[in-house]
Amino acid sequence: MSGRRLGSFAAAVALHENLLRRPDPDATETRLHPGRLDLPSSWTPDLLPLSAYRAADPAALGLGGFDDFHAIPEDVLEAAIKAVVDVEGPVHFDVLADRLLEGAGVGRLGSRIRERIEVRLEALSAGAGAASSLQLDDGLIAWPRQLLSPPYRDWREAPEKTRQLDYVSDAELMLVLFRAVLDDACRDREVAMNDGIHAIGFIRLTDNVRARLQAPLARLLASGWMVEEADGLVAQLVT
Amino acid sequence: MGLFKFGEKDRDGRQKRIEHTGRYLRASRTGGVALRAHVKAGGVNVTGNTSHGVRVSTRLAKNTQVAMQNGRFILRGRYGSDAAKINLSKSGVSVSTKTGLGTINWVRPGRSSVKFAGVQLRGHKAAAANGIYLAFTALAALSRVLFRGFVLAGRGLGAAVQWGVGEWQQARQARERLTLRVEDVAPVGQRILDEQGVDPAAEPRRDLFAAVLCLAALFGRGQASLAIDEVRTDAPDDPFVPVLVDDIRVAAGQLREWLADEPDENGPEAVLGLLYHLGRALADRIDDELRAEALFAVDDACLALGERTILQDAMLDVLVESLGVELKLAGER
Repeated sequence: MSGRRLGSFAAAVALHENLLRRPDPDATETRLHPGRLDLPSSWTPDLLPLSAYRAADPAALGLGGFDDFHAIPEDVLEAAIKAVVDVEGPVHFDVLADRLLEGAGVGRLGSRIRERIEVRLEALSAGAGAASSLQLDDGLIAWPRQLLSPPYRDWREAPEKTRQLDYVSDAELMLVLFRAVLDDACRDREVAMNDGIHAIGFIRLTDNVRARLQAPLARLLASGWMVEEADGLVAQLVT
Repeated sequence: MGLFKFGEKDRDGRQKRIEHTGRYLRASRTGGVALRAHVKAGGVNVTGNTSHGVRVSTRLAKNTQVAMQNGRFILRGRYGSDAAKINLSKSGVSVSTKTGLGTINWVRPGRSSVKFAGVQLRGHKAAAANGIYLAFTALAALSRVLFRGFVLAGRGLGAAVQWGVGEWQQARQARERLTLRVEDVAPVGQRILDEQGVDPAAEPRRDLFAAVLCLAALFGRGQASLAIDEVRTDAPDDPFVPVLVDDIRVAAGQLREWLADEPDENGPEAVLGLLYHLGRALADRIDDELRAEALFAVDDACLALGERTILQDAMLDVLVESLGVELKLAGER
């Protein structure tokens, strides 16, 4: 008589993965898993499907109707900055400035305007609670959650001027590499880099891009989300 | 055309009669050699034959011929199917049947015929040959009928035994089953959730599924935790295995806390009640296909840890209702 088991956990694992990969907007309680919806303490990959890049609408920022940019009250400018970061964060300073200038009907980013935006960003990043303060990271602005769990978004859908790999944060590039290895089982570094940036709309893996991706890849390996085995990269879901 | 039609088959697939038939010449074993010619004029056929003289014939009706030959009047008719042909002649009517060998005439056996290896025989010898052939055919048919009868009887007996075993197993399972209905357990589960202030509808779906799996696969067999190796054997390199195991571990801890204050006399109602409400909350937020998959995934996971317990049988019954899955037996409409 054989001792072969009848059942298997394979279907349960597959169904659980299916649930992890779907948005769950109705989940607001965490009694079955306390802390489930809390801000992660470190970088955590988003497993949801690739979504279109959403750009903030400059006309909806409330910056119109002022004589010049310096006439905009501080609270109005700060609200506009928050609104752009809400939608597009992590967002590069240049992209943020573009949206604000377009909203205010100003054509050129001069040094005084730049300084004013930077001052407001400094103020917003110096809030009392870390979770409610903007994070400034190497020219990128984001809420803490956006850096710890960045969105998996398709930059092909971004406005043409925004569509630059320099405007993509390292946290987002980590996600791109992780998803290429997890979803497509890309074990080779070069293939993972190529497929990763290709998935979000950047088609050329140049030397500059390759160099840019080294730091995110190193962070993935250091944090344990990815390991390098004899036959290449393997994604791991850290619990 | 081959010599004397050797190797040629008739419409029944048998060797044609051994003879030569040319346009004007016919040569056969019994008829010898004869020259013949045929003309048709005004609906009347005239056939001259060096052996049989001149015949004048015409078609009286379908399959009916009248003729004069050497001063004799001829009337011929043949009607009906191969199984029972009606033969008409001046002397009356007879009935014949086609057999595998030839034709047997039931009224006048002397007019029977057989053909064997292209050799045509007529008369009483042919009737005897046909009789023997029919006797063997009948014996073979009888054997076939008996064989089929035995096969059918065997199948019937097998089906009856299978039905009996099924009934016996169902009766045994019914004796061993928990007789708890959803109406009995749902209020208990709701009371626990209310006391704990839990709203399952607002819990993440992944945690609802992990909790359902924990209740059915682990608590249903008295197991408190799940080792990762128990899962990894089914999906060795799947990176999602540790995530599921961790979700189950955390859910198990929470569920144990909720159940800790339950008095023992409540028995399985508490876990069944929780299972019902958590399953229902999950079902409300996933589509039909996933509901069915969830049910089978839980069942499969239960079996992966060993034979199902009586409590697990009851849990799956509750889960069918809470997930709203309609089960159909194979072949059922």
